[in-house]
Amino acid sequence: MSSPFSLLFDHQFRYRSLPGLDPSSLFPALQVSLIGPSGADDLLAIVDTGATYSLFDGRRAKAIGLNLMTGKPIQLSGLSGTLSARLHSVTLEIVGSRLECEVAFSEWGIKRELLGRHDLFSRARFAFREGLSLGYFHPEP
Amino acid sequence: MTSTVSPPRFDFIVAKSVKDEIIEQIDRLDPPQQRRVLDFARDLNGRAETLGSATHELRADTQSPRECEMRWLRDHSAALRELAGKWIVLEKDRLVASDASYETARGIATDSGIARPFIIYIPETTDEAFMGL
Repeated sequence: MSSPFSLLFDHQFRYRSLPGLDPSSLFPALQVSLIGPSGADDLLAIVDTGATYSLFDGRRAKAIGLNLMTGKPIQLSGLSGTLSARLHSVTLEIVGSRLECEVAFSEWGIKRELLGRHDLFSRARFAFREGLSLGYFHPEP
Repeated sequence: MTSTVSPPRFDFIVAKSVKDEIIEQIDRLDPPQQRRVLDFARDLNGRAETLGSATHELRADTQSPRECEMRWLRDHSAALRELAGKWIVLEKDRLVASDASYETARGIATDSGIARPFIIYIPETTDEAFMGL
């Protein structure tokens, strides 16, 4: 691609403060609908470009119609240690767009939920203007 | 798989000289084609006024369908500290449920007719920087 070039985005969102964290710190967090075979939860997740998988609390699995422990087991490594999780296919609804994604559900409680790269980042694109606390989302690669 | 069909709204101009290139391209068109470009540019300007554009002053954030709940979270930081360790369900500007048990909080919401609850966990407030997992 030669210069000049442009990247197009349908949606702009403002960074938010998050419960439990310093209110003066803002994060690129989005309201997400987590849709399973027989139910759905709405929640708030941080867009985390360093996370391989989107990660949700495993207690949500049953409520949306998934059997947590039948998912493919996976160990997720982070700065604070390793977390056991299970992979399941769900639909993520983000600002009106539905994306089929394989995501991880934790086997025990977690403090925060994440939107990570696997599947999601190959089906949608994100951009950030950290200096303006603005994020961008477009539901295409 | 995507369902969005609306036209792109935000355009990052990565380098300069776009204007020059536009003028150069328009000069090569015949008058009827130039008229179509003019109409297109006017249409884009009209959209920018109502939708906002990253190349203009940014003002048109996409509204979350849970904007009321987002506002509640922003405006109730003191209450949230007291709810630490609990799952909460918000519906519009109303706290529907709070409980240490996810199942209990969600059950209260569904029993009250909320099929898709906005339910989140409120962690203890910390000064630590967020570093993912």
